[in-house]
Amino acid sequence: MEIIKTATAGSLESSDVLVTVHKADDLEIEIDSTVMAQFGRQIKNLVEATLEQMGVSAARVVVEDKGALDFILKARLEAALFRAAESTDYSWNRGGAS
Amino acid sequence: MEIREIYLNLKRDVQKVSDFYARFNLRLEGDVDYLIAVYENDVIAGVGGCAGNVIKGVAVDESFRGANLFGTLISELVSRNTACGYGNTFAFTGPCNDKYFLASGFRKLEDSSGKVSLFEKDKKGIDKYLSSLKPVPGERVAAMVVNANPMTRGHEYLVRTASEENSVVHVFVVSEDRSLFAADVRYQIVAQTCAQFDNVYVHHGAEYMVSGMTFPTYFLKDSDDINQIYTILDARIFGHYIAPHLGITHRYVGEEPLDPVTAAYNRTLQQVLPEFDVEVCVIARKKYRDEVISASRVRQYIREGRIEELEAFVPQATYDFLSSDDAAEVIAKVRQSDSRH
Repeated sequence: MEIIKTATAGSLESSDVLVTVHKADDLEIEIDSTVMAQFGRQIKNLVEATLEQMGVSAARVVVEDKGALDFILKARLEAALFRAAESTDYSWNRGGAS
Repeated sequence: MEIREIYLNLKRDVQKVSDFYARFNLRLEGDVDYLIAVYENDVIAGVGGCAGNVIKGVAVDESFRGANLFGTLISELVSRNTACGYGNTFAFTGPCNDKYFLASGFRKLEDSSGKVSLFEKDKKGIDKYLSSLKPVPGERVAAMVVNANPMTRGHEYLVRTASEENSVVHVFVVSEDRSLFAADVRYQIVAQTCAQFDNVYVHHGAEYMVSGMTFPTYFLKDSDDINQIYTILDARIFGHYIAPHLGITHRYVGEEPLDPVTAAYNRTLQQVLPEFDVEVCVIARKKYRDEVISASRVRQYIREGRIEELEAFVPQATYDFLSSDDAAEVIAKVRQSDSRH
């Protein structure tokens, strides 16, 4: 998946997450979370795994988390990636039950 | 809770927003492209607006505070902006709101005398801009910021003077597209004209040369000197970020006998920049037969249809553009307008 423009998904509401994806030459991930100390590592793992599943090798991903659960973060990240790639090639089974 | 866009052509709805703002001693900014309101039980609880990619006019009613309505408004504004294709979003606000923007993931770029703060959403925004400006080593590095609407022999003279007095000169062309001549045309002409000097580098000002045209005034008092406040902000951003990155120690400006706003701008630069170890060099204007050469004079000649007479006033690149087919639209615009810009 090729990132061609900047896109966002989500919000800054409590329990949600605002994900912004920018075009970039390599992979950069920035995370800020209200529960950074407890779950920072887990959020990073989830973002990296999702990027790999979606076939994204170059993007700057900015995650502003306000306590979102894993599936929320994944959904927001995927939405932002599709928007940033201007793609509607949804394959609903891609992630699979995990 | 409901988020709705306020349609700017519905006077009654716009009046409700103005009334809401009036409770906070704020005014509705004339240049907003859209306004978003958050309603609780059909009553406006908060409002926010956007002009281009600049967020303005965010206000939340006290009785609804504590529910992160601010976060809701900002999320909506940023999402809409990004969907419109803007890679970054900026916000001007009174410093009392700094903490809300910081909590919404904005980076504070600068403030001006404690009256106005400027934020950007992309925390690496200015860093990305700076990395597009390549420092050039030299014993004495100078800079100037020009609108060049259009570029005149006066601008060229200023560049030549700076080029002779310094090892390296960086010329920034204001990127705001609010002038009669389009930003890309102005930039091209400046770049072509400066090519004759081998120590002059031309750059786009991008969003970091703050223009008074987008600068908001809605939260400033009538007694505040708006021009001075935005000039201080602009000067501080230049001194804080751009000057150190490029090693700039001197900022060149042309003396301003005709336009009081620009004259005040020069004076403010002279007050603010020394704090950042940048000296301001005011160069007397070039004259042609006792007339100061200025862009506003050039536009006046265009208005009067005296384009052939402009050869003495403008560099070749400007004259070539004005004589070309591409200039027809701009010339018509100049003829119809009497704007300062």
